[in-house]
Amino acid sequence: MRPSSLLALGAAMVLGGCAASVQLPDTPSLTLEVPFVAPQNDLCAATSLSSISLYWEKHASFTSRLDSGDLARLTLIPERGGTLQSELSAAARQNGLAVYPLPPSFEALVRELQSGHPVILLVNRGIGLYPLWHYSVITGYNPSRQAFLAHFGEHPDEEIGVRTLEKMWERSGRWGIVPLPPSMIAATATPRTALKAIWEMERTADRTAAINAYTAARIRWPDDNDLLFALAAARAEQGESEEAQALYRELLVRDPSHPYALNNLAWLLYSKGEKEAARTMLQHHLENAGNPSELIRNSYDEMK
Amino acid sequence: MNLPKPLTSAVLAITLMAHSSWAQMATTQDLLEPERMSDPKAAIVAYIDRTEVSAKLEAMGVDTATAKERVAALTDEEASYMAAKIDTLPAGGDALGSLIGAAVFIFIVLLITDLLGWTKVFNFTRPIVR
Repeated sequence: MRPSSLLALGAAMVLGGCAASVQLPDTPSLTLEVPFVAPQNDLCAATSLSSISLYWEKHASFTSRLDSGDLARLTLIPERGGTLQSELSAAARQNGLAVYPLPPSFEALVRELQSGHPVILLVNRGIGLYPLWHYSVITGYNPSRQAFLAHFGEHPDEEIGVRTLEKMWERSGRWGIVPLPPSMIAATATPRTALKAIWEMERTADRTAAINAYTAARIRWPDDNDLLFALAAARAEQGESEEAQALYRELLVRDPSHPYALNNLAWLLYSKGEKEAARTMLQHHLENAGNPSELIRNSYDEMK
Repeated sequence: MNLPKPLTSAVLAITLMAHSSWAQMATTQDLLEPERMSDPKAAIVAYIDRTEVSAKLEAMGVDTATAKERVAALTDEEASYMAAKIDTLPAGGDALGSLIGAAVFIFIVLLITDLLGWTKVFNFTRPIVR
């Protein structure tokens, strides 16, 4: 290679390093109307959640369960001067929202915004050696200025250059969440991430809301067996035995040897007095399945 | 018998869990983590992790009742993650408070990185590079 082409290559590399590696879509700018909640000392997790909750109260049938005092009480660790990611998610669930993890890419961030879903990012405003962790609500973007819009500090919809946001987000390991009302599913969710997000909500916060969420997820992925199972199990836990049985039967039509569905349907039958039917179902599995389920064997022994 | 309260509740919890792991309804957790279903230790570890997180939250200034409430709102996965790393995990807050104790040198470094658009610490800076 001649020196001049080496020089050109070097220049290209330097320039390439300066150009934004993230390109915003070539679309008009977008600003979600996310109510601004003024920052308070160390409470950016709670104010971010308040702000998103108010947005959903305006744009969907959603009602917050907690007030701003509760959110602060449930998120702040006084000695750390802030909030851990897990507790931000937990508080969002307690407030009635389902919490989807944001895939760690700008494409995912843009897709959620385009679907009308504001997002909370964890960023490091400082540097690696001197981290200053901060949560911020991303409310939109402006491609002509290569900027995202965020409730970052003291002003609503502040412009943050794509490059700056990229560096700050990179330093948090690109962590972000999409808090949504139970009837909505994140644009970037997969059946698996949706199942997990909704189950976490069912487990720690609100089963009725989770049932709505599973139902919404099943509209998006009607063929997913795991979501069907989860809905059946939630209904059974809720005491809606008849509905749960119907759902387990639907699953068994799709997958006749589904051990969890068989097991749970048998217990529902058993508990309403149809003991013989329950035993026969399980016995049939134990005699015919190539690799009989341990769970079913235990249940069968217990039902004898 | 006069056992300390945490111990009695641990024994009680373990007894209950040991019983329920015999024959049971499968849950969505079992779909997500099938290996956990057959591991009798998992529930006990989760219980201990929660106790630990609660104690650490209290040590960091959260009152007892609130610490309990907060731990109850965590999934097992979140609780075990926090139990291991609560002192070092990032705690998102508002930057300026934690800057008060910083050395002048750090201050200046952050001012420059702000101007370069690498950081966004101060509200009065505007990056000169986009």
